[in-house]
Amino acid sequence: MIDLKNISVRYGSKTVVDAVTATVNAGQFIAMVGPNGSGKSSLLKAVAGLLPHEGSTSLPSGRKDRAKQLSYLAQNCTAPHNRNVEDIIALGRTPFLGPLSKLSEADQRAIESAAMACETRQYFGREFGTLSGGEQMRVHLSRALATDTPVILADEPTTALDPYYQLSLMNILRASADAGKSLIVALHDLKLAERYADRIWIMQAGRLVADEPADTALSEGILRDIFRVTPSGDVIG
Amino acid sequence: MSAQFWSVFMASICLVAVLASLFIGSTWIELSNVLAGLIGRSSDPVNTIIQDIRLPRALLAALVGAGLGASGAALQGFTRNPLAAPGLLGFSACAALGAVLALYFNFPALITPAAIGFALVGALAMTMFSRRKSGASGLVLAGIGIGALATAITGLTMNLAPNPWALSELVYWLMGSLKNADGVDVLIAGPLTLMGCILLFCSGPALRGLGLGEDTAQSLGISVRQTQWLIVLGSALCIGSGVAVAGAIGFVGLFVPHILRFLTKADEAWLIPLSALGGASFLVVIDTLIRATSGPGTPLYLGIVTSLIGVPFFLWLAWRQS
Repeated sequence: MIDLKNISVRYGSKTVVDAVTATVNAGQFIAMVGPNGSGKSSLLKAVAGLLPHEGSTSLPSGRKDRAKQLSYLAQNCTAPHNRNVEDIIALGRTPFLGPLSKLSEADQRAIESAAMACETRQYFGREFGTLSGGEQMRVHLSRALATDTPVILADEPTTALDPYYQLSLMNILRASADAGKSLIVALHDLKLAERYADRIWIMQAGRLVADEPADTALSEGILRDIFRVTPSGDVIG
Repeated sequence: MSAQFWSVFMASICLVAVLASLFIGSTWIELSNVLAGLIGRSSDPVNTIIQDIRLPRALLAALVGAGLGASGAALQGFTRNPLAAPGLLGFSACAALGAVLALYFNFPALITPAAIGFALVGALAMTMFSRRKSGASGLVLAGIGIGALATAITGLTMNLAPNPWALSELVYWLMGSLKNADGVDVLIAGPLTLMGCILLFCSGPALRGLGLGEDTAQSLGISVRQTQWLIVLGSALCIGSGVAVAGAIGFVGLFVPHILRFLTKADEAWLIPLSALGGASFLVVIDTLIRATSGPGTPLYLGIVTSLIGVPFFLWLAWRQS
């Protein structure tokens, strides 16, 4: 599980995340939704320790110790195109390796099981650049799962994926939550959020304005006031 | 084939190149004579040629080449930019400026520290610029700017130089040569280059993670700041000490890592020692050829030859990028 206490992020005088306090239990899948610029990415980065912020989390503050507790799937993941898939997934074990140490059996097992979960085992031996966008995203997710941390943060992982890969990615994330991990996943697709998450966090102008069960969170009022759309999918002028 | 295999292979090539350079020259010396010359048991001229001319020159070529190759590989890994190299990013020119300033103000003892100091400033400016995510073209433009400024000030310094001797020094530092190599140079450049290379090797594991982007690398517990310092200090030591003894030698740091990346498929961490060995071998071979083909009175400058080889490669790379 993870506790967030009064997390704020400021760029100069602009407050992009405003005193967010929340808890994610073990096995809970949080979908974080909100309009562009509502602070979703900044909140995830702050929790991951990538942005200077106020407030605290229940995670260790040391770089290496935190990396063993939390894995982060960035919005625009990249990887060297000439690297083999298994080498990229193995980078997920970085927090557990010394500068010269080799992968242990435990490391190998974590890599294998992450690759099995994401169905990327079949790409071993292939160069990353030869995969399609959806396949590459699954490799990134395998890398994040290979760290085998209790907390997983993902920033819009389904963006730019076709429906098949969107759903298969969400299935993998759901299975991780069912295996006891705490997930915070920023999403734009409200339908995916409703279908896969346990709870939905709604962000607006840097504030966490709602933290509700997934089946009731996206009420007509919320859709109208925050997303400026109607339940039938029309834009509110 | 594994990175370990390639390391042993490149190390053997380097060793063979250094040994071969002892035989080859305007006079060919036989194996038995070379070995005798190495331990001072040959005739006086051969002893002198081997111990005072060919051996220091070969060792110095290897040191300078190793520093250039390792710096190039580390800089390309850190900036994730195939065009990054100590020469193109301007800090070879900065180091040359440091050396020339030390000479101009008549502190020859300060040539090495000044070259390293100025290379450090150049390296710092570059890595800071690359972290502002200005893209490949922005980085190369800034490098050209910094390099041009350093070269211009070097030119100005020599423009104001009091005598023709000083002018010939300008040529030496801008074009790069090992013709004045001696044992003292090896003793100065050796430990400094070695230290620089060790710092660069240490950045290797972090560079693997940085291939995933800065945010992801940091989330894996990698310190970008620490990696940056390792690379800045390491390449400043390598380039500064190299330039102090041999002047600016261009393009080796650019194409050696590229060719080795293509040939060996090594990752960012292995590429640094491999490029050190590759740069060393390349420079020893080229300098030996220069030594063997130069007639008396018209020595070719090493830096000119490496640029002549490197520029077409650079143009091809730029072409492929666009």
